[in-house]
Amino acid sequence: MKKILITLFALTALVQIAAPLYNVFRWNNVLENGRQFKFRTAPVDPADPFRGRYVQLRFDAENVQLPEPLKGGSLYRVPLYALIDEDKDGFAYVKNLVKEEPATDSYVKVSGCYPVWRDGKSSETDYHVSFPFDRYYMNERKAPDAENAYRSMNRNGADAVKNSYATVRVKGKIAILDELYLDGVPVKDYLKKK
Amino acid sequence: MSKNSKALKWLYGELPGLVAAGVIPQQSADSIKKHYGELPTGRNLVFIVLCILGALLIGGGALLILAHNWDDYSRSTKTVLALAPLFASICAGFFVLLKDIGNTGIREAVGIFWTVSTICALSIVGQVYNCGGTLEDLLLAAFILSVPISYLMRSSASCMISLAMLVSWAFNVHKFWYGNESLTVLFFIPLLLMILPFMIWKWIKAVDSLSSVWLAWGLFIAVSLVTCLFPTAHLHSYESAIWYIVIYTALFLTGLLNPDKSFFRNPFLNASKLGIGVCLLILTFAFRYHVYSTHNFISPDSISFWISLALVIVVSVAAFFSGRKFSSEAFVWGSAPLAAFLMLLLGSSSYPLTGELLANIYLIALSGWLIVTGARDLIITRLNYGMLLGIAWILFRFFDSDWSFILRGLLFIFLGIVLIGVNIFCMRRKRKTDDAPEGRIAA
Repeated sequence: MKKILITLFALTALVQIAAPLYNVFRWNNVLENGRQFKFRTAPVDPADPFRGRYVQLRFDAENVQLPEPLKGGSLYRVPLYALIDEDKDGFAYVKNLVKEEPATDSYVKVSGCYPVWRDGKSSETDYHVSFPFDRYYMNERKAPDAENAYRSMNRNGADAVKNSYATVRVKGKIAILDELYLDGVPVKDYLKKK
Repeated sequence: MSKNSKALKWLYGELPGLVAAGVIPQQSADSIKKHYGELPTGRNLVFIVLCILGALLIGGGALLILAHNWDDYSRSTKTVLALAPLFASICAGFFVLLKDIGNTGIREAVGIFWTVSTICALSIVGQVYNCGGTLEDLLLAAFILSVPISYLMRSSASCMISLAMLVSWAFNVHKFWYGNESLTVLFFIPLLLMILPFMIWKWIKAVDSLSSVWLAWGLFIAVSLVTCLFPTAHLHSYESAIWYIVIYTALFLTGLLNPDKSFFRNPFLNASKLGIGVCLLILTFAFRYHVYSTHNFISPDSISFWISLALVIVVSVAAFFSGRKFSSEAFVWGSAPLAAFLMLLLGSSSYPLTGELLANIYLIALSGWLIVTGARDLIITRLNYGMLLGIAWILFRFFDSDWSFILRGLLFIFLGIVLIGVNIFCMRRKRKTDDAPEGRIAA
């Protein structure tokens, strides 16, 4: 009986340690070897009961205009992949949405996709998608400051807003939010300056 | 083997007398004590509760400190810090297993600390990498990883945390406020089966222990909360009433196995009856508001109809055999799922009000049976439950009526007098019965 218990214990301990470590290794791999994209942002600061305060991010690139209507019927519970490219300013945008997993590394699996409602009907080419990397966890005291800084920039209509973005590393199926920038500098440095 | 602490206390009190009278030798008395183990005392309970609270505070504190998000540390340092409590708790768990420590307080404390550390490791690593998915992803991963802890540490508190995480996962994954008709919530059932064997083992081992009682209440509440999410998972809306009644009937039949029939100590037996009663009450007026609707309550075209029917048949057969073995009460409560199914079937026919009629007749009959048998056998709780069910039915009907305030007032007073009067009458009769030398008086 004790042997069974010890075996069960060893398996449990192994899986419990392996689960977070597996994430650490694959996320580190993406951060080191993934392609970097800059996504323009619009932050607010909610809190997660387990993971603390974070800056909730929405991205300009989540509003997608497709070159042609999406084929293949309903989008309901269908996995969708956003092909990412860079515009002339170096910011990421969604080039196209596809239903099959692409062979390239520059794509993100979207966690939600809705057609834009226009003129009383849903558009066939305009969509709103949700990216899975929508949280930037911050120190509990600094997250509200980041939110306030962003809001005040927005009120003044400053160009700084246009220079607020998040860098995201993408490799394979995984996309990791690397850093959040306000007015072109990392958010922690921006807050230190203030 | 079930360990009944009241019986054990009585037995241990008897042993010295039996040894003194020469009925059993001292050696046998010692063997009996060794076999049944130490008698649970109030001090033990306080120690266990303090250990649980202490472990919860330490684990929760570690989680909060790490959730602060220490900017000055690198990703790797924060990762090591996140995993440190998990390593510590695994070491503590290994020590408990290796030394075969039987102290409940220590096992519970290590179980809780280990569970909280697992949640902590997953959540803080997710925080460090701005990843880890949604809250429901985190809860599911934490639940699956922490289930074995309950078994290894024999920790009821850890099991309760797992149960709470599972319920929270179900509500988060369902997102009913978005009208998300997701079938994912139905995975609650197989996930629950992962921790159910531990609960069953606890009940078999000591059904009257405080931890077993809390686990029973935990399961009862968890099932009651989550079942309300099933209907929108592609079930027809009122089919949920059948699911509820089936689940409560199954729990009621399980409660019959427990020799302790008191309300707090046997929620399966008693609270389940309340659940069935509430569902039946809802069915007595549900049809009225949907009579003009073209939507059927249940339809043989859907797979959920056949699943519901299968569940009704299984639980009805179980009730039939339980009625023959344990108590005639099982026949009565066990008929509720079949009756509810028939009500909804009739409600979906060309004459939907027949469903309402059956619902009302069934409820009145059930209430009447409870009152009559409760008064005859002097089972006050059954009598009161029957009267409460009847009064609730009258009040529900009364909401639909346009009676004058005077009539409503008189009805309230009449019902109050009946409730108090019948109770006083039955209490007096019961006292007389108890005082009678044979233990009962002629009816």
